[in-house]
Amino acid sequence: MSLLQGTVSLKRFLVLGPVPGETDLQAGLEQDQFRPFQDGTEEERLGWCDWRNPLITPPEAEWVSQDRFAVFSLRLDTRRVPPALLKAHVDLRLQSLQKEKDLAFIGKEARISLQDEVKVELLRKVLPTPRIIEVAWDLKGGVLWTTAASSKAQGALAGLFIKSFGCEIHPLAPLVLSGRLCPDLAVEALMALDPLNLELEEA
Amino acid sequence: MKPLELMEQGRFLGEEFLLWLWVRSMTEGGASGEEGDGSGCFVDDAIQLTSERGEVKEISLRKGNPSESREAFEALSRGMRPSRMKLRILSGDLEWVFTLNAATLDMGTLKLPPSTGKAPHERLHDRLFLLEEGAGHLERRLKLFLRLRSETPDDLEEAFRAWVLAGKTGEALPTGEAPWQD
Repeated sequence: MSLLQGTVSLKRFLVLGPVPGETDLQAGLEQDQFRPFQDGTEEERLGWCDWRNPLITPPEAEWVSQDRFAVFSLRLDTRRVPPALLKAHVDLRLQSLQKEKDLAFIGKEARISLQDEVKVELLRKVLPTPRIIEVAWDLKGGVLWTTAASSKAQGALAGLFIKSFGCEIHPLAPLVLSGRLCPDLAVEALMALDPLNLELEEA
Repeated sequence: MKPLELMEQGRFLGEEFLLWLWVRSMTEGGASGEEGDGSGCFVDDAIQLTSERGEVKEISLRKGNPSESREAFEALSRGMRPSRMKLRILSGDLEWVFTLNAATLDMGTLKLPPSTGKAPHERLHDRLFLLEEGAGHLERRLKLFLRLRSETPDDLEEAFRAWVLAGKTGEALPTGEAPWQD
């Protein structure tokens, strides 16, 4: 699903905070651009990339700016070693270590350190699984359109958004949207409304 | 208030908005009620109803014509409320089909009118425009609903209840009779 083609599931957020100028926007995108995994045991990485292709980092300024929108993507990569495979490799390594050093038992700390070592080796061979979340930020209207569907993706987006641009994002749920559409109706008054009783018979 | 709490607090408004769209889809040809707006909003082939009480907490009616089904009106009369609904908005030659979630008012699996742009940025501009158009049709309706909901809640409640009652007997249906009564 994508903003560019096919069906799309969309969530809208209200952006709270001063709207960055073009330079600050680009600086935020560059600062938190997506960077691929390096050595280590890190299993998740996230950062901004270009909406045309997730391999283009940082997003290119002339493509980010689309009329009154700033368009870019959030790339979320995960890499995992399947636990069963990790255990199998660790078991074999422990056996050969015991044989090699003629040990009856290997202590907990040594086991953990060996497991980390094996994990780092295996993680180097694992290809990351990328998730691309598209973002279209209406800079004039203060609304963010995004394809982030899961709460995890929305949380990641909100976290990085405030880090990069200093703006908070809040879901445009009924009460927030109502306040925006009908500014003369106080949100407090809408919150004080009771649900209508539509029940005609006992459940 | 935290965003999740705010969402939970407004859920009932979203549910009642879905119901209002359902009622207008059947009684007003899907018109928004705003002068000069020729668009129509219709309930498509999927409705999910939920309730916090009773033995059944959730009913999903899919395929066929759930908005005119006996099951739908019976569920409504037992106090179940629409929590998700597939909608079709028509405006001129343009058509938007999507699932509207009552709690969040998110548009899920949205099918937009076709874009004429060939280059990626042209397609993007087209689709952003169409997204805003589709959301605009919905927001116009939400605005009218909110006005009624806050100014004349008793009238709205009475109208909803009368419509549900009429739906149970088939009077609310376009043909005026319930197919399940044959």
